[in-house]
Formats: sequence, C-alpha cells, structure tokens
Amino acid sequence: MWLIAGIAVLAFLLAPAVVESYFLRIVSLALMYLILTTGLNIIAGYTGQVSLGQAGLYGIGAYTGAILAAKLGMPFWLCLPAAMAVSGLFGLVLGAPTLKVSGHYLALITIGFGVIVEKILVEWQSLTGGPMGLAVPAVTFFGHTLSEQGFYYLSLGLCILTLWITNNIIHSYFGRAFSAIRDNELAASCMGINLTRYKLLAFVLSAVFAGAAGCLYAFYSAFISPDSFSFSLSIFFLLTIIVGGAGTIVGPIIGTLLLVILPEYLHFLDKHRLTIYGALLIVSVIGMPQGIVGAIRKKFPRIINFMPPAEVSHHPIPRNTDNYSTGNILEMQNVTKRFGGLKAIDNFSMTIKSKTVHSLIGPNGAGKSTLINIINGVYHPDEGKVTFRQKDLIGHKPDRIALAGAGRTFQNVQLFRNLTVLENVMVGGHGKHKINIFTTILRSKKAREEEQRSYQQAWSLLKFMGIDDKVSEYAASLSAGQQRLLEIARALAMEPKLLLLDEPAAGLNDTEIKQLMKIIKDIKENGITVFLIEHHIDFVMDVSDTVTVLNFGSKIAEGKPNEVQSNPDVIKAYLGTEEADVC
Amino acid sequence: MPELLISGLVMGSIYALLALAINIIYSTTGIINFAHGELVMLGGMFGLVLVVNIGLPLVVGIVVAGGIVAVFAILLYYSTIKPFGDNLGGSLGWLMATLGAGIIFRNVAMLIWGSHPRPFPPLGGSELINIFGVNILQHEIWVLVITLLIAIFFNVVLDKTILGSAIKATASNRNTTRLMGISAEKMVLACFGMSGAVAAVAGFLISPITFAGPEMTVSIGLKGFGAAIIGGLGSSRGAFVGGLILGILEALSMTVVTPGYKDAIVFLVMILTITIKPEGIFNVTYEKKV
Amino acid sequence: MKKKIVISTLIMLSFLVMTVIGISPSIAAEKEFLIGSVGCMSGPAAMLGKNLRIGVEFAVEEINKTGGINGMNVRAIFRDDEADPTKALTLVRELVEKEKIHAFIGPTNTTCAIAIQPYLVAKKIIQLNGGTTGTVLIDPKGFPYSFRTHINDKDQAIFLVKEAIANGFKRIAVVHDTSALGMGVQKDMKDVLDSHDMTAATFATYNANDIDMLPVARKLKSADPDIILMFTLMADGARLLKAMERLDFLPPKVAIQGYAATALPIFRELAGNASKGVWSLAPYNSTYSKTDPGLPEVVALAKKIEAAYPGDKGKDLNLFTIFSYYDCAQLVRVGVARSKSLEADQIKAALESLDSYEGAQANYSFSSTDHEGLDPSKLVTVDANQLKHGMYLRVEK
Repeated sequence: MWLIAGIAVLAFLLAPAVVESYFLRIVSLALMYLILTTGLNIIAGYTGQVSLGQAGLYGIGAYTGAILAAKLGMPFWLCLPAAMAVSGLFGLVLGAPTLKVSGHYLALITIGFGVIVEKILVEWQSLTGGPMGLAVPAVTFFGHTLSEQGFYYLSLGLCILTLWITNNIIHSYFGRAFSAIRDNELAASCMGINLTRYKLLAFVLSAVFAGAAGCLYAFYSAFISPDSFSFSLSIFFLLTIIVGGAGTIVGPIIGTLLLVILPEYLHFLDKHRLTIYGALLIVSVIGMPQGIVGAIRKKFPRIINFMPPAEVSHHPIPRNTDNYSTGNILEMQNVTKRFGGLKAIDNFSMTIKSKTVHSLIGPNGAGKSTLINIINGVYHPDEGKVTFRQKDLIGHKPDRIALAGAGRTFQNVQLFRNLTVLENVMVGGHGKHKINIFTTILRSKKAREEEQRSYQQAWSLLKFMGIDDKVSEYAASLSAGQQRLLEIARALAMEPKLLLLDEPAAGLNDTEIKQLMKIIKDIKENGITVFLIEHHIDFVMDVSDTVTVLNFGSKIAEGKPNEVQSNPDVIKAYLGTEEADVC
Repeated sequence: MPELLISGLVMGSIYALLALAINIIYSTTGIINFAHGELVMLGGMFGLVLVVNIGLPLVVGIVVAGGIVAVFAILLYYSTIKPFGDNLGGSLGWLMATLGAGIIFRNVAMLIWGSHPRPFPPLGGSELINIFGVNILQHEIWVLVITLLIAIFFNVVLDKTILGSAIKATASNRNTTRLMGISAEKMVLACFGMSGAVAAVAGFLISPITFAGPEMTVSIGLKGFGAAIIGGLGSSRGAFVGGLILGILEALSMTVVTPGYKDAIVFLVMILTITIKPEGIFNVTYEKKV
Repeated sequence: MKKKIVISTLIMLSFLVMTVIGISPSIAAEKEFLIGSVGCMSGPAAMLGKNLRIGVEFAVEEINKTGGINGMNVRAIFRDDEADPTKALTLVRELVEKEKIHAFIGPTNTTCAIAIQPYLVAKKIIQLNGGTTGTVLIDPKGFPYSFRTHINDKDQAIFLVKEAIANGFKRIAVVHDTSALGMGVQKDMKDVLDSHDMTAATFATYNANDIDMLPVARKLKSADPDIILMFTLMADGARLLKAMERLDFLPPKVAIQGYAATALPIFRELAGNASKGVWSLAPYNSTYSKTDPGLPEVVALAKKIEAAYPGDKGKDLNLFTIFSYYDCAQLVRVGVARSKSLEADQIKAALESLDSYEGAQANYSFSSTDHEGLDPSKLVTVDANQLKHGMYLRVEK
C-alpha cells in the first residue's frame, strides 16, 4: 500500500514541471474536490448517511473565507480555520434534523439544506454580493503572492493531510463506530455507540473538510458567485464516491480524479456530459455498487491478513469484580408493555441474582425477546420499574445501558456485515476507549496502545470461541453457529456485568451446544451474570441456576430447573413440547 | 389579496398533484420516486408536441400524453427500481438511480427540444373570467377541479377498496402478498402507470403557468416531495392537503419576506416537518428501521 | 503482493499517459487564426450560446471566403461553460494555453466574464464581448483588451428614460427584478430622472423567476403611469404582461417599453397577445421602416441566416444578438488588418482608432477611453412584433 502511495505522491509532486498550467488548474481543482469528497465519504460511505447537501457546506466555506478576507482583510491563514469552523457548525445544523430519520427523509433534508443555502447566497446581497458574486483578495506569504504553482502545492499538501487524518480516523474505534452505524444501527447502539454523537461527529467532520475545500477554492479563483454551488454539484460529489467506491479511502481518490480530469479529454461529449452522469449513477448503483474499488477487489480479492497480536490471553473473558450489596443485579417490577392493543408483557416481575445463570423459557410468542429488549433499552415499558445495579433503567437509550454493563446478543443475528470478524468484536470494545478524536487523528502513543489492547482482546476472545481462524473474513461469511459465537465474543468485549443472550443455541449442532455450555459456565465463573432465553430445554436445565417461565406475557412459574420442569402449569403451557426443540 | 390566495391555491393544487403521484408510488413500494418532477416535465413536453405541433385537441392530448408518460414511468421502474428486487429498504441505491434517471430525462429533453421555455395553451382558452371582481383564467378553475377529482379518486381507491389494501400490502411485505395470490409486480406496475398518467396531467396543467421547457419542474419537483411529506406519506388525503397548504404558505410568505426567499421557506418547512413530525399531518405510521 | 504492484504500476502509467497527452500540443493546422469562444451552450440559457455560435460561425465563413485574416484561414473553437464561472475559467485557460487562440469572443454571462477577464488581460488576449451586458465588464484601464459590441445595461436604461421624457411622457413607472442588474438599473434611471427634475411614478420590484406576477402588476397599475419601462428577464416579462392583461392594463391604455430582451422572439411567443403594441429597443442597423428596408448587406445577411435556420430551428434565435456576435468576429478581422499585427496591444490600438465602423447590428465607435461600441444615440424604439427577416420595425413618433 505504501509503495503505491509513494509513487502517487511523487507523481503529483513532479506534475507542475511536466504539465501545462491549464491542466495543472484542473488537477488543483480535483485535489480541492478530493478534500471535500474524502469528508463526504466519512458521512456517506462509512456512516451510511447519504448527504446531498455538501455543495451548500462547500459554499459556506467559500463565502466565509471570501467575506472575511474581502470585508475584514483577514489573511488566508486565518480565513481557512475560520471557514472550517463555520462550516463545521453548519454541519451540526445539517445533521441534527437527520438523527431520527433515515433513507429518503435524510436525503430530502440534505437537499433542502443545499437549496436554502443557495437561496441565501443569492438573496443576502449585503453580505454575499448576491448573484454578481464576490471578489477575493490574493493569498500572500510574507509579502509574496501565492502563484498558480504555489496553489497547486498548497492544495496537494492539504489534500494529503486530509487523507492522512481520514485514514487515522477510519482505522480507529471512531471509524469502526461509523461503519457499525451504517451496517446495523440497532446493534451499534447496543454495543454502547451513542448514535447521536457519532452521526453528528461524522457530519461535522464532513462539513469541516467541505469548508476547507471551499475556502481554498475561493482564494484560488479570486472570485466566487452562487452559480458554483448548486444542487447538481452535490450530486456530482456523491457520484464520485459511488463510482470510486464508497466506504474506502481510495474510492474517492479514484472517483474524483477520474470524473474531474477525464471530461477534459472528452470535450466532444460536452453536450452529453450530464446525461452520462445520470447514466453512470444508475449503472454504478445497480451494477457496481462498491464502485471501481469494489470491482477491482472482486477481481483481485483483498487479502486481508490480520496478524496475531504479540500476546494472546488464554483467559480473555473479562473478570467482573463488583460486589453487589443486595445480591440482585437486575430487578423488574410490574412491567407491562403494549404494542397497539396487544399486551406483550403483562405485570411481570423478576429479580436476577448476581453471578448466576438465569434462564427464561416459554412458548413462541410469549414475549421473551420483548423482555430482553426492555432490559436493554430498545423498548420502553408502559408501566413498571426496572433497576440495573441499583440504578433505574427506564428511559435510557441502549448505548447508555450497554456502557453501564449490559451486553447482549440477538435472536436474529445482528452482525456488522461489512466488517471483518475481528472488527466486529472490536466494536464490542467500543466503550472501553477513552481517547478523543484529536488524539486519534494524531495517532499518539496512547491511541496506539488502546488500539493494540482492543486488538489483542478481540483476538483472544475469538480464539477462546474457537473461531480465530476466521478473523480476517467478513462477518457474513461465517456459518450460523459461528455467527452466534461471534456475537457472544462481541458482547464479551464490552466487559459486561450482565450478559443477555437471546436464543444463543438456535441453529447449533450438538457439538456446538456443548461448547456453548462450557462457555457459559466459564462466563459465570468470571463473575458475569448471564440472562438467557432458550428453547433447548435440556440445555437450559443443565446450565441454569434459576428458570423463569413466561406465557402470554405473564410469569407462570419460577424456581430451580427441576422444580420448574415438574410444574403442571408449565407442562400445560408447553403442550407439544417436542416441537420447541426444533427452532 | 384574493388574487394571492387564488394563485396560492392554484400552485398548491399543482403541488398536490405531484404529491398524489409520489404518494401512490410510496404506498406500493415504500420509496420516493426522485424522477417524478421530470415525468411531469415529459408530460408537458409531449403535450407541446401533441397539441401545439400536431394539433390534437387538448383533451385528446392529455389522454395520449398520459399514456406515453405512464409507459416512461414503467420503464423507469424496470430500469431503476426492479433491479433492487425486494431489498428496497436495504440501501439507497434506488434513490441514486431515480435521481440519475431524472437527470437523463431532463438532459435528453434539452437535447431534443432545446432548453428555452415555450408557451402552452391553457385549458379553456386564454379568456379571462370575472368572478366576484377577480379576473381568473378558466384554466385555473380546471386546475382546482381536476386536482380535487384525482385526489378523491386516489383516496377512494387506496383507502377504501380492496385493490388499495392490496397495494399497501405490497409495500409492507412482498412475500406475503405473493403467497396470498396477489401479483406484487402487477400492483407495482399499475401504480407506476397511474403515477405517470397523473404526472402527465400535472404537466398539462402547469405548463401554461410556468411555460413548457425541460427546466420547468426543477424546483417544483422538489416542492412536490415537500408537500407529500407535510401531508403525510402514505395518505392521499395528506398529499392533497399538504399540497394546498404548501401553495398557500408559499404565496403568503411572499408578503412577509423578499420573494427570493420563498423557496427557502418552503424547504425549511419541509425540514421542520421531517424533524418534528415525520408522519406529517395525517399521521400515517412512519416506519423507522428498528 | 505481486498483484498489488501490477495494479499500482497500471494506475501510475495511466496518470503518466494522461499528463503526457496533456502536454502535447493540439494538432493545429499550419498558420490558422484561432478564435476561441466560451458561452452557455446548455441548460436554461442555452440560447445565448446558440446566438453566439451562429453569429461567429457566419462571420468566420464570410471572412474565410474573402481571404481570411491576414491571409490566414480562420477557425473558431467553441466551449460550453454552462454559465458556471469555474468551468468558464478552466475552459478559457485550455483555449489559451492548449489551443493557443489568437482572440476571444464571449462569454455569455456576466459572472463568467468577471471570472475570466483578469486572466485574459494577463495573457494579453483580445476579447470581444457581443452580448454580456454588465456595466463593470468594460473598463479600458482595468480590462484594456476587452471591447463590447452590445449595448450595455446602463445605456439601455438611460435610453429608455430619455426616450420617454423626449416623447412627452410625464408619469414614468419602472419595473425590474431585485438582482444586482435590476438594482443597478434603478440607480441609473433615477440619475437620469433627477437630472430632468423628475421622479418616477413608481419603481416596482419583483424576484427573478417568480411565477406569480400579479402583485407587481397591481402595483404598477395603481401608480397610474402613462408609460411603463420594463427591465425584466424574458420569462418574467412575459408573465408580467400576462398579469397586466388580467388587469386590463396594456397598450394602448398605457405605453410599455422594454429593454433588449423584450425584443426576443421567444418573449413575444410566451407573452402571446399581451405583447401586442409593446415597444422595445434595438440598434439602428437592425431595424427597418415602412419606407426604408434597411442596409442591403444587413438584409442579405439576415435572409441568409433565416434560410439556414428555417421554421422551428430558428425559433429561439435573436437576430440582433447574432449580428452583434457577427460584428465581434468582423471587428477582430478589422483590428488585425489595420494593425497588421497579431499582438494584442496593436489590435487594441487599431480598434480604438475606429470612430465609425458600420456593422450588421449598428455603427460602432471606440476610443482609448471608451471600449463600448454602442451608445444610446445608436438606439431606436421598435415594435418587436413586426419582424421582417429578423429585423425590427422602427416606431415613428
């Protein structure tokens, strides 16, 4: 990878000597656009929030820089960070409304944002000069005006800096969090990722880069007008990412350079350029959804080869050393949950003693998964109280509950499909990272240490689960049983006090079930409480300290496994128990 | 003031027509067709050819254009939605694809017809009628009436017939509807066809006001989405009401701020609606992926 | 690893190939005179570019028939800037540095012109502006190589007000949009009125591209003017007239005169009946009268253009804009011929020495302090509805 990068940088450094200056202008523009599209990739490619308003942020950066320079006489070196800050702020404004919505609502909000910015640029004539535009003073460096070539190198430098920063962000827990949000918001939230904070962060990052690009462009052109910041530019930016390959560092590079430079050789197609863009959009999205990078990777499969860490722990299950005063880690009192007219959970109360394995069984549709979802914060109960480690749980989001020490797996496996197995588990360790975004960008010693620790822990957990031979594969390629083990490993990476397992044995064969039993016993030995939903009655009876039985949302029995097994109400509810084993 | 309200109602009806067509596609596929504005434009352009160049009477022109644009809408479905199969909720590929299709429609239209706006004959001629002291065109009355009729039609079909339930069922769960013997594909095709026909009608109604040209629906198209959202996606009553509200809001905003900001206000209202109450006025269940 | 090296080498090679192609000079024929032209050829304003292209192409054809420029064959190169200043500058740079043009005609939009003119000055390229009307664009000190053949906004505004006063109108109303152009016009008109101790009946403003013009129309009517001066973009003006029709306030009840854009055929088509009797303005040479069919060469040229673009194809053409661009190309020829040089400074001096050049559009005069070829004295009031071979009928008072 470094070889390619090195050759590329060299080529770009030498370019001004070999190339005509009008062509240099095109490359300079491409580099400025690349700063923006790399940022756009963070929010759209990595975090999965499709933003069609980048031209607006670009325009805000350009006009901020231009206005500060033209009206206040500020030098470029101050205008640039100011433009980035203002754009970043507007990134917040753009991102905030989008947090609760997705898909086309998100797209429409971003489109609307772009249009509003365009209109303001045109109408607020006293500030922006209106449709006639604004002239921008030249950039001076100790009295010398920055030349064409100087600007080229400036753009190149800033572009490389952008790529470096983005690279550091992506290969850190921030980057994993972004990808997790894109792949599975629910699971991401349950792993302790605060959706609001990270989405907004991604928006702000993309806005800061867009603002930098805009400011650079304004000074480069010496004149800006609203015509340059239209909705079609936003579409163009997104197109470069789609064509190049969203969610990769290289994708925007290929896409932007291609779509800016290639048309210069195809002037005879000028009339059809927009039609071609439209067609490219359709073709890429249908035939080549991973872009050019994806197509290359299909032909030359990326050999991701994670190396084992220096030390692999043989006892990776995190030890829980908490002492519980009451001995109960979780208490549910009179919880009721309705969906529409249906009462899914009816006046349910239960206590889970700490450091035990507590199972929940019941016929299909009894409401078992709903209970886990209530504990975990995915659903809020309509009545009743839930306390976890003496703290009231109700009203908190899943990520806060996760960070408080509740890890979980899902009935329908919720993996991060586009991340590798190892990265999936590392996402589980999200809450353990302490460094902030700036330390991450700088790749400080602390950052590297945290990353190393997370890497090591994830590897060790996977080895313990017996699937360390699959660390470099994409999560989707694992078998059903392996995926369940992966989910458990991911949950353990959170270092939970309470582990919620929703039908972990579903789809496992006998060997795998035996392995699972051992794993659960190991988990319990390390002081972690396990709350388990299952249909495999033998499994439940073998592994549990306490069993609760649920039917139609109400508790019908509770006690030690053998007590429950011989309870007549339980037997009645399970008429035709044999089917329960077939999941 | 009354003229302002009338022009607000007229534009509002246009937005309502767009919203109704957008809504029918949403009801059956769960997605928004981002090329809808261009379908309306095609209705207007084909209208030009049929009525102005060839000389067909307006009513015949509307019918023929309706058929042509319906075909385009179905082609749109095959090229941009169908390839995603049942996995429409999985990614935003359809959004990019329909956007791309819209761009293609617009630019090819420009290549064929040139980009300048052309006059378009209004329904009922250009004579002004005086009603309660206000001069209006017969055309404007037609706009209101036709929009109302189409709104009622959709409301009845979607909300009150079995066909309507089948259409909505297709959006929620394709496999189940297939198992029940309803051809999901036929439902979707029918809806796209209807959407195209309504787009053509909208094209005929709006061209006399904005002049016909490939760029005529660039901003109106986006406002159509806004209207659909404000009223509530999934409700044809919502589409109708949302459109009218948007039109009147736009007209009124011109008295408060510089006219240039009216587009900005419209989009601001749309953004606020999505933020505060994405289900819109008529409260249709908004499905967020859980 | 090997595969990675292969890929990276391929990528680098392709970059090198591109840069090499970028370096190589374009294959220009021996000793050709190249005129570069950038304008808006696509999108809503595409007709501006079309008029530019036709005017220049016709001129180039004629010039080549009569021996070219200084014995060299002339070739025109056109590029589409889509009215985007960023693209305009990129294209102009390509034309100057790669194609090595000798002269430049265009662009078609004021913001594009602002973006490219400093560069053209730095590279010493003669620029003829045939249709971009922003007043700031022509400035012999700031833009020494830029000359304009089309009447600029300020002069049109001055002409309209002066004509109205001269013809005895007392209550003059003005309607314009809120863009920089519109607001600039308001100021220019106010200045003229002030110098005659008059005030306008009203200045009615609206926003460009507005669909509903009734409020503006009402404001105009309630000011009770005897003449309304329109400085409106084409589609807006058409909608305004239709709104006035609703209020039953059109000629002959009130006189209405618009600036150059209201002479365009499309404007009249869009406004339909409402444009009957509405006056416009045009440079003298583009007009005819009942007794005077116009200069024979101009009529001949007009007929030629009409023949080349019959019927529907000719619908969005505006002859006097085409004439303006035609004249641009001819002026390039004249400048080079008189100075016997390809150097911008010499051509500039030659053009500045022209005090009466009979073009197709009008009679031009330049000087070292004035690079505007036309001034208000060269304009006349016309009835744009009476076109003959693309020329306008003069309104005799």
